[in-house]
Amino acid sequence: MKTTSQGTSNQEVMKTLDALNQNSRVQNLVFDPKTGEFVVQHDNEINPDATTINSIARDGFAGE
Amino acid sequence: MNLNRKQFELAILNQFFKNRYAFMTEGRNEWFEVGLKSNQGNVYKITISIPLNYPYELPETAITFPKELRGFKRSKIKSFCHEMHTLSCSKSSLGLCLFHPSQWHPNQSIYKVIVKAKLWIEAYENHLKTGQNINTYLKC
Repeated sequence: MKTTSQGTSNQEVMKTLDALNQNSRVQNLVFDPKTGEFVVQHDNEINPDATTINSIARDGFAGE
Repeated sequence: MNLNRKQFELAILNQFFKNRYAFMTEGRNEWFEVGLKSNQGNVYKITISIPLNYPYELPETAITFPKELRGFKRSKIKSFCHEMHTLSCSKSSLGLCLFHPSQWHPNQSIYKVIVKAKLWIEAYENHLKTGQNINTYLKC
């Protein structure tokens, strides 16, 4: 899986989103305001400046 | 947008999107322009138009840079397409479908709109690699 210099590839972001949608969370989807990027992290890795967006990601998008 | 609400929105954006957004006004029209970078390092600009009765009505969000976004293998992205979560598309912008109107309520925020637009962008860049619809990634 290709990873950017900051750490998390967009395939990894989508894989985590898929896990969140299936309620099988093992990692968190986090927005890091310093880099403006999404990061996939375990509970004990989350930067205090960052914000977990699991619930926003799980919120869904407009359906038919 | 009333002054209290504007201060609330700007305080959140200053925390999470400092130096990445601009709040614009022209007459009664208000909008945010936000620079977003995908995790692949590509730069996008989104424009969030604030309706007059915001936050009781959901804002419209569009990608305004790059112009004329193309899909997998340079295919045209359709307007009002559920599979791609798009609204009206033109040469100058691509409207994003981020919320069902029934999902929207006044406690939602511009911050959340921006985070959802960024999720759309990450799904779009995966679509460019695989050809899978954006809905495959975002579900709904």
